[in-house]
Amino acid sequence: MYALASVGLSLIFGTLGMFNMAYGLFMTLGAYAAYSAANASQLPLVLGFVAAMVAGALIGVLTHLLIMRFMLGTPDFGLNVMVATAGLGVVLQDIEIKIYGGYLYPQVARVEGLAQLGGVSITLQALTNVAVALTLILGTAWLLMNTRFGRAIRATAMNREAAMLMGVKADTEFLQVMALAGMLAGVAGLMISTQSTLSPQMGGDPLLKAFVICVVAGLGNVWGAGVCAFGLALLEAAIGCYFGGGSGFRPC
Amino acid sequence: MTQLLSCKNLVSGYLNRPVLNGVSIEIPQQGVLALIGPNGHGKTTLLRTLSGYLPLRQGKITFDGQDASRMSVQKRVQAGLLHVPQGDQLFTEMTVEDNLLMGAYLASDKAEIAQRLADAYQLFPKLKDRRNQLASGLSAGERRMVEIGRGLMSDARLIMLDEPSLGLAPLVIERIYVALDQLRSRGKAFLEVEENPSRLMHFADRLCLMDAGHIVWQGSAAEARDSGDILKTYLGGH
Ligand SMILES: Nc1ncnc2c1ncn2[C@@H]1O[C@H](COP(=O)(O)OP(=O)(O)OP(=O)(O)O)[C@@H](O)[C@H]1O
Ligand SMILES: [Mg+2]
Repeated sequence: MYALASVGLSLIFGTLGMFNMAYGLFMTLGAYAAYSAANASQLPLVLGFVAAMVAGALIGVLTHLLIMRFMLGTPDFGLNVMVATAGLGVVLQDIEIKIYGGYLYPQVARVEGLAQLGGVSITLQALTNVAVALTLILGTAWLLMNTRFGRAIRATAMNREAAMLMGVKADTEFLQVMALAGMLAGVAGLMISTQSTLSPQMGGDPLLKAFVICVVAGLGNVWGAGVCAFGLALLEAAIGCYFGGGSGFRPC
Repeated sequence: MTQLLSCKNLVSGYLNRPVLNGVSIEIPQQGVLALIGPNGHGKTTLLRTLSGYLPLRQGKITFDGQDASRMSVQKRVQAGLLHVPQGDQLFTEMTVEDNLLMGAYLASDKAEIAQRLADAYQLFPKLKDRRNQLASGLSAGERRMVEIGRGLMSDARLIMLDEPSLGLAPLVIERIYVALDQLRSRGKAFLEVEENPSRLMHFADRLCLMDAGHIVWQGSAAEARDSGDILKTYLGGH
């Protein structure tokens, strides 16, 4: 789950050269969107998942259209966007508290049940989360490595000026990356909420971890972020297991 | 015949830093216009302004009969105006082939792209052997070939080269210019910034001398040779 968040965060930093301080709230939003969609429908799982993706992508796109677009090309772009997205984070959190209240909810869009794996029982939810995270990360990697769209994103990350001179439009690029990263955040939020609870603050802790992972992996290194995230998760699980950190078993 | 590109009284520069103070040049449908001048006097800035990377403050740019003054970089690339930037400007952690393909970013026809790729490899056969290597692992000369090849992949009519021989060994420069000569004989037009006098005399049809954001002298390569002083003063007396 951190893996997804880190990949998204790293994607934004690497390509767009900025920190998205509201990223934690993108996750929360995805989780709440899944909750609402799941409550309102007969197909809680599928719809919840789709709702998380759509909500994340949508907030990413809106952030670009309503905020970032106007800062493009300003001399202190990185700083401006950091401040603006930090502000956006506060506003989003307030909106969530207004709509859902400040209480903790259990996530409704979840997979029930236990599986036995070689004598160890593990929740189906945990397995699902690992599978979804892996699929999305590999999917993102495939997109980046094998499509024209992905090639342009990587090129922009490596050399913005040269990419622009080949005809890549900064504006379009930002929009696409924000949509993709927002979608990853939405799903990450949903999965995190299935392992703990839903609360307006839930994005904070994973965001911090995602930051750590991004820094360790090298900011902007999408591949490294994915690998490091799984590493951190294993480390956490091991520490939790051997020293009884109280967090219990946390896959990915 | 009308000019491929003409610009009048261009004023442009960076935030709080005007660099070009009214530059006018004309580039014919074919051939090579070379831009020379001391360091830091606005040659790169002129190329960036023509490609649309820097916004134009005043003046007018006409490319291929269209007013390009307000066109985006993307539109200009589509129209056939391409800027190969100065210095090592590759996508270093991408393969040679991916770098080249980025040059055809705006093309969508698969067969067309494959054809352009084959052309680029034919011009620089060395790159074909290294197609799956990361650009960061290439020699300086090979990297320059990728940069030029990437520019060609856009199928531009006018290629703006910013110091294609910068930092290369004489033998490698020679090889690069063999390729450029070939392109030129295929009818491409060039605007190049070049400081290597022998390359200039051999490759360029006309020369423009830029000083402090103005064009202070223009003439054919032969005129430059005859007037002696010009090249001596600005190119360090070779
Ligand atoms: N990105 C930038 N921001 C602000 N000022 C810049 C920038 N790039 C260049 N300049 C300034 O603009 C002026 C013109 O620079 P330019 O790069 O056009 O010179 P040049 O003729 O290409 O020099 P060189 O031969 O060294 O490449 C210089 O004084 C330079 O310091
Ligand atoms: Mg220059």
